Amino acid sequence: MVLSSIAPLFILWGIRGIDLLPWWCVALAAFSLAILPTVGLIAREAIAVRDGDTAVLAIGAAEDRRGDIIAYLLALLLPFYRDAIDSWREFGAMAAALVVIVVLFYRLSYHYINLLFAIRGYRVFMVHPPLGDSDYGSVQSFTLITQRGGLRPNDKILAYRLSDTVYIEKPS
Amino acid sequence: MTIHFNLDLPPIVEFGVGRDASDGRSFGLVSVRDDVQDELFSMAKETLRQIDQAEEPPAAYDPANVPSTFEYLQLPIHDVMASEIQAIFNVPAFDRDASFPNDLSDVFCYFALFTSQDGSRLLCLRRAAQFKSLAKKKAASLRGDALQLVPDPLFQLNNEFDVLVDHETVHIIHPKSFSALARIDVATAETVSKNVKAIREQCPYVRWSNIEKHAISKPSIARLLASIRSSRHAENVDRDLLVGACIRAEVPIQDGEQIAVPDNDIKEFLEVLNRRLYEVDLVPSHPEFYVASNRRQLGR
Repeated sequence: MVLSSIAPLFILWGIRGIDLLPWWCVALAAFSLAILPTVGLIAREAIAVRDGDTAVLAIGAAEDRRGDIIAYLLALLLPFYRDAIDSWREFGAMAAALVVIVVLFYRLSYHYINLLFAIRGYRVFMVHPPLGDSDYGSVQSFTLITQRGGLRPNDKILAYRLSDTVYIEKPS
Repeated sequence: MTIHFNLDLPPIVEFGVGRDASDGRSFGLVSVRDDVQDELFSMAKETLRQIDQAEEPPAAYDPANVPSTFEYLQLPIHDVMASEIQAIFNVPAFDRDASFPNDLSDVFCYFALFTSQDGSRLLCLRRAAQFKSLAKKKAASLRGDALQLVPDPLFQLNNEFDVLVDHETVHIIHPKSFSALARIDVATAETVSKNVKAIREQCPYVRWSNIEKHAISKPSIARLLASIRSSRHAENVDRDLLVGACIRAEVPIQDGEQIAVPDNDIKEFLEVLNRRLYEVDLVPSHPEFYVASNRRQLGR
């Protein structure tokens, strides 16, 4: 999901190219990195639909994560930080920056920001489950991708499971 | 039998396992495919069918009874003995079980949670002995014309659940399993003081201090106290009749300012109060005494 999330970055990189390498080599690698994870994500969603891998999600509190778009856009601008990558040292620095972005996106749960979902009209919410009086309830927050404009406490939403912390609402 | 859940329409099905580790119990969801969801739904329907076929109307669960293999019993979900089951039923959101299926050592039950279109829930629980047994063995399947070992662990679902839970009632068809699932020994031990206090108000002429002390360390005594309280067997008990019943049953009480029960005879005394120790006088000059592991009051 992380690589799928930053697919636009790879596309931009593929378009700009890297002077050290043949253009077709860079383009092939960049478009592969952009397309294959996204195909994987689509396949994951299709498998969840096929298997009926659903969960009833209880909403305690929900945060609209549109504010994270700024951080996302800054990461996408990585290919434009320099005019051209014309030495292996600069290429190494760029690759290291990419690794940092991937790790941060994964660790800070930005990986749900995805052009694929945005095109389909989905919004992203970070959801905290309700704290009932039971000792066995979950306190694990999760990401819900939904076409709803907002979520209310105590809503119950049927969603497909993309991962243990990312769900996409089942269309009604 | 009334289950407050509509099983005519296919509900949303979630599946999970319960673990009993050294740091306490936990319950987590496991993803299951459509065919397993259908099978869990069939298990719930089979449980309902068995409940419908029960000959007797459901009695209340009695913690002091020796549980039978199959008996349809009920317990209000707000009853203190159902507090563990209520805690599971009221979970608004379960965690995912990340250790499944790699670590099955502390899995003690599995459950299915059905959610209907109107949002009502039906929780179905089953102890996991059979569920786990196949996972420890090597299984083979026929591929073409030859047997091949199945590399993945296998799990065996049962025909029916032990317990169904709706928002009002715990429906029990396997009382022994329910006792383990609901941790009845823990529930009755934790409520000894409350039970003794309630019974003392009904029978103030009995010295309850040593009985309470014993009940804390002896589950069978704690269960009897819980049974006496929940069955209201201490209400309107006449002191003289109680003393007479104890004398006939040869329970060596000391009838002074208060009725004192020797430590070794507490269980028999409580069995008298719990209508469990009784006399049958069919042979002349030869009364016989019995202890009932289970009994039912007739409505006459």
